[in-house]
Amino acid sequence: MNINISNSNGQPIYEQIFSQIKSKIISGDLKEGDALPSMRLLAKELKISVITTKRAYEELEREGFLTTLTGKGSFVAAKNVDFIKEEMLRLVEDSLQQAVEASRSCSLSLEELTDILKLLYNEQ
Amino acid sequence: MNTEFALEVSHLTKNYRDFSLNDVSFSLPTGCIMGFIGENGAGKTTTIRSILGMIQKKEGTINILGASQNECLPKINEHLGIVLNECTFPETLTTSDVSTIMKHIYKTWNNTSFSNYMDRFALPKKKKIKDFSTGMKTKLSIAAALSHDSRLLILDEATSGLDPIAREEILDVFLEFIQDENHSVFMSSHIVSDLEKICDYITFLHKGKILFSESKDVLLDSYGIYKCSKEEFDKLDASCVKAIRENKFGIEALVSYNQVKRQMSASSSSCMDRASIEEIMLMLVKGKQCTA
Amino acid sequence: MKGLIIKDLIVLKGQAKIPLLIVAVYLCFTFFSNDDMTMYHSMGTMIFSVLVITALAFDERSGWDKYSLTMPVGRNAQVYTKYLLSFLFPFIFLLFNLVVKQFLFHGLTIDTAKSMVLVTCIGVFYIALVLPLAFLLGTEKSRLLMMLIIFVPAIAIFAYIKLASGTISSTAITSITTDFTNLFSKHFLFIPLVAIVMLLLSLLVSRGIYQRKEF
Repeated sequence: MNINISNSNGQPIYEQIFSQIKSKIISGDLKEGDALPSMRLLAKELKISVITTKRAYEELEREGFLTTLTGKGSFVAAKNVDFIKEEMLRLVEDSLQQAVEASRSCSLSLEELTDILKLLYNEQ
Repeated sequence: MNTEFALEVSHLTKNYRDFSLNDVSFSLPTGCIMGFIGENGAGKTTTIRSILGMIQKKEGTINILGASQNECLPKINEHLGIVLNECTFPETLTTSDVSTIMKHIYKTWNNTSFSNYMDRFALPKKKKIKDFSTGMKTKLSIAAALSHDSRLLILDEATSGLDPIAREEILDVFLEFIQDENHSVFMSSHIVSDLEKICDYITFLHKGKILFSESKDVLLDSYGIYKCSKEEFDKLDASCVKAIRENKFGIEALVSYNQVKRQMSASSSSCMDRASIEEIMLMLVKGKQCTA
Repeated sequence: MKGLIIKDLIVLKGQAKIPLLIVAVYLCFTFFSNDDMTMYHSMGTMIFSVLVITALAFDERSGWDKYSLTMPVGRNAQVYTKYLLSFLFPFIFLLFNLVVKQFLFHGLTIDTAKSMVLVTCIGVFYIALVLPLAFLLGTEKSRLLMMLIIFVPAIAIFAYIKLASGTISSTAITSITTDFTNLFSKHFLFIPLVAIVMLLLSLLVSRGIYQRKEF
């Protein structure tokens, strides 16, 4: 599992850990039931405070992404499919919103925009 | 011995002719690393000496690993690993001698562990300590502190004499030590950048008084350094400013990050950065304190 | 406490080479000049009595005295260790010399044995006076006082002799010595007893000093 922390991008460290682990779970890199490294091990390897990793894990647990069993560790929780779908939908809407605004600013018609979308979708 | 706090200091007071520790209180939760910072002469060593029973305190209570200092100190000492800022072994000893001696002092002395540290730190077994460099002496003390069943490490400026590479090595060792959640570390240092890296809590002592004892994350989240003109500064809400420093070209203020970020206008030339622990310390010591 | 004793022995092993050499040389000297052992025994006893002070000095210089407070041995152990060694060193030296006198120097007589025991007791008496000072002031600062404790009685004795017999002559010294020896001969067992009691009292004083000491 790859986690990279930036000290200077302004985002609190626990948030960076939180989002990186979350996206790995959503994308399927981390599957249901996978064991996550212990909070202390993560803190040691990244050379950060244990309280930071604890906070990130607590946030992830609160949002239903992982479960912690005392004595055993933390594991990826069963995917909350609806929740993830909602997240993805939001992402799609945001990106499309940006595309719409850009099209308007260069006077692209809806038809032309739809064509581009079809092309891109079919390509991948 | 599962206690919530590895170290609890309450209302510690000690008076000398020209210096006092005043009502010093802080607590180190078990399983965490606490950095103890302060300028030279702030009283860090005096505090640590009081904790270790080397000097008598005038007032206050100290609990170490859940036991009161006044009671069974020798028994608790089996689980204390201490590193002071001098090499405390007589110079004519070799590391093998140290091992022989410590075996008869600590019931839980682990020779294999000590040997492993000797190898890891590349310390020679037959050389006399007086021929060691400062770095080697410190590493020896640390190895000795870790080679019995220590649950609380107390270090007084232990890394001050080390080069950055040796310091990183040592900090790694401490992080390993903390992997066991019953282990805790209390370290004083004026190399604040080291503490900022690995500490969970930071306690700041200034002229015998505690200015703050706080989770490091909270500190880094809460404070910012706001650089602006006098006029922009005057517009700020006084409650969010903790200390200021003026220079010929403007004002530098230690402020509450979130509060000021909201009040900042996009068009001004002022800027706000997150404050590092070192900057917080400098501002509180050298800047003009503002009490709202 | 065993660890502390071992530490002192290891440290002193390195330091004892020169004193041991001096004592060995003196022994040979005495052997070949067929002199009586008094000078050798007295000097050796003094050297071994104060060896403990060297150990204490090492502790201070290296910061071990502070460090040992953080060990599971307790403050008193530091004091007990030094007193144990301060007794053992001159005592073992005495036993060694009694054996040497018996087998190498024309046999041991009761009187010789008594005078050797007396010298050892003086050594023990001296360290009993000096150790609390060393614990109180540290070995550096108490060094001057330690010298005074030898010289002041020595000067006092000479002064007494001068007053008592008008001149300082060897016959006067011998006769005073014989007087004292005869006095003590009758109650001889008294002397080692007093020395040991002094040492124990000194131990209690040192223990009290060390309990309150700040580092």
